[in-house]
Amino acid sequence: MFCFCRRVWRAGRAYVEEGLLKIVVLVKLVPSSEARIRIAADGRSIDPADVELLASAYDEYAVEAALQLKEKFGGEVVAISAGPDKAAEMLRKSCLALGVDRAVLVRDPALDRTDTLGTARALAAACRRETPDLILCGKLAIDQENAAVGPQVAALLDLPHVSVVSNLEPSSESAFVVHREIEGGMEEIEVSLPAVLTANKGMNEPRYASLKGIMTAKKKPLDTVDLAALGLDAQAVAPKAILVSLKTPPVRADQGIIIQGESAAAKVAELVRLLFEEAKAL
Amino acid sequence: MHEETTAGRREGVRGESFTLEDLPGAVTDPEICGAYAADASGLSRVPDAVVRPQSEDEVRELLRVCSARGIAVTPQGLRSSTTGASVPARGIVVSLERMARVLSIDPQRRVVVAEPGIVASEFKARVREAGLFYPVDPTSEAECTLGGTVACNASGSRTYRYGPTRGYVRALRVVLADGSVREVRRISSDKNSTGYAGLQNPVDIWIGSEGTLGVVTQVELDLLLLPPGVFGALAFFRDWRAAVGFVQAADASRRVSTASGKAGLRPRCLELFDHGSLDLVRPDAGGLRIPAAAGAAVFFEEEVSTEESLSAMERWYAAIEEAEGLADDTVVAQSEAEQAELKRLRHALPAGMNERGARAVSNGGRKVSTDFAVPLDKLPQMMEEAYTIVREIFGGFHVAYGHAGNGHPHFNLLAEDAAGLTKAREAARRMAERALDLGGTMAAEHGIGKVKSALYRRLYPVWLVEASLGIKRALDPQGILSPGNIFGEDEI
Repeated sequence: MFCFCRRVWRAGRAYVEEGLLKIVVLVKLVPSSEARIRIAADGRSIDPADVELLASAYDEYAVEAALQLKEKFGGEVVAISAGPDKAAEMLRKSCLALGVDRAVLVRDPALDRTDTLGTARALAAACRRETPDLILCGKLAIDQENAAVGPQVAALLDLPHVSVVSNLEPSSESAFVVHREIEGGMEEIEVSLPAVLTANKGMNEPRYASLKGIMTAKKKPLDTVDLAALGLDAQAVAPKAILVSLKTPPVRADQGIIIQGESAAAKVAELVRLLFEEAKAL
Repeated sequence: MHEETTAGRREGVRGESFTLEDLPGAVTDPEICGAYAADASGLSRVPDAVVRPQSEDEVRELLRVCSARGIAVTPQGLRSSTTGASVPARGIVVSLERMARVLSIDPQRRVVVAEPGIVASEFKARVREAGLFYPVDPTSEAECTLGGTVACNASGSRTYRYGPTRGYVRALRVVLADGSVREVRRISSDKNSTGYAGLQNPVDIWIGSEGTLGVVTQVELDLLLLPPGVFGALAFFRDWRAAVGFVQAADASRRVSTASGKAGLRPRCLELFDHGSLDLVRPDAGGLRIPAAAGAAVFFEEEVSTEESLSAMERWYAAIEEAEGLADDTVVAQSEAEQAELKRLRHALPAGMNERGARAVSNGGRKVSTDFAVPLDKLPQMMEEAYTIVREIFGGFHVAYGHAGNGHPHFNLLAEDAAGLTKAREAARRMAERALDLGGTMAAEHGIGKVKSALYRRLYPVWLVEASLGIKRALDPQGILSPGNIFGEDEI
């Protein structure tokens, strides 16, 4: 095993510190996949009433990966989210309570209606302040499934990126080897740090919070910053794609049929006929 | 009671001849009947016919015909009973599976009326959709019916705080053996000094009567308001002794805090996993880290609002440390999905043991489980003796888990073959007897069914069993309802 090294500035002098790997994890607040989604009165957002809000599932893999790297190699994990006030609670419960060292919430009214690029600009600006070695996030957020923000952040920071990563392992002090599932096979890619990786399902098994983790989370730093603090303005995140309206899919009528018949044998005969002729399943 | 005379013809008690096909709605296809033969006890007998009524009128008609002809009728929910209570000793089965509607939910009075055949978890989901809470949570709630929970006065992990089914039953509609229907409503005045206490509320006689006194066609239940929030956690300990010590301490804290109104632990459940149970769930635990040093665990839940949850968690942490638990390893289920996952793990225990038991059936083995409960202060002694009994008499693979807060752990013994089964049953009997000696019961939540009637007689004096038989004979003089349940078949 080797140590990560990192140049740090202290009192005007540069030091090389061993065992420091700084990881930023980007986490989005989304409705629980179990939630019953209703569209709000404005016709283009989700009604938040009675909806449990959580960290997006793929981001949880990213958090777990970051924590495992920190446990193995030392360093610091910072979670960053761009979202509403409620995202602060999520950062505490789903990041700080699990072992993330500190969190940053980018909160600005201009972000409420932005698109993926606007969100990526805000997150990239927040990442820039941290100068991480590694940026991890989910391959997509389970609410809108754009799968765009991770690559956009990489592009804005001019960093290499690999998406849909199922396994990652450092190969040297300044590079990772990652695996990426592709149709019918597995890609192995070596990527130099700093880099952006987006996590796929199966990368790991995200941990539960511990009682102690939850208790210490309340004392960990959670900064809320607005766009101005990141050197951005509303214009920088003005959406180029505008969400016009949301609709729920049409309710499908129950299409099951109950086969009637004199005897079990007759019913089976009818079932076989239907499977052949109607469903064309056989 | 009736013998086959000529092919398909049977003779009723009064000598008249009939065929089972004459019964309204009867299905006699042996393959269909075969699906109604067994429950989770391992007992099995294919019923002569199955009737699946869709209305109370159909139940009445069926029982009128059956009582006229002396045909035994065993009501069934989904056959999750572990005592053979839903296995027909003879005669036919009436399955309530097609009477599965929620008839009304009154949010103001917080009262629900439902049919017995609805799956318990489905029923609870419907209640929840109405913004209300039904707290009874048998581990098998996704595989049992509401009627089944009434028939055996079911309980679950939250019974620790909320009590069993009985406390929520306001009224039942019951079709009696002769086909007449009766609505039995709880006398709910605060005070009542009419007659013998055990018989003051007739509805209580039906709850837990295991299908021996009638067929329930409607259940009216009290509901509660949804709790403001809840968190669940799994705390680890070096061994079961430390875990049970923690359960006792948490229980004591709850009593003090409830009585004094002061801050304290307010668990709604206290569930034990012993060493073998942890080994069993480990491969399936996913992101839930079970520390290698853990030899036991306690799952607890507390209902608390988000604002107050942090101080509640600090109290729990201190209590786990005090009990010399692995406090830092305590995992918390924060989201509903994580809570469901912990519940799934808990349910995986009996399910996993059932599966292993089922694999042993071809060798004459199976899973044998206990249902004894003792007062909580006697639990350490009971567990100590139970492990000794299991080791000395049985000696095979076993686990213990369950409702420690109620002094009610389930010991599961995996008998690999017929010889092992004999030993496992003997060990279970010995444990049940010790529970009785220690002031407990041998059937805390699964009922007597067809497997524990001898122990039932050991627990209660003859005159009291006779009095119960008196009630049975008064309501079902021919003994056609669920023969073999609670009482021996020849006793009625």
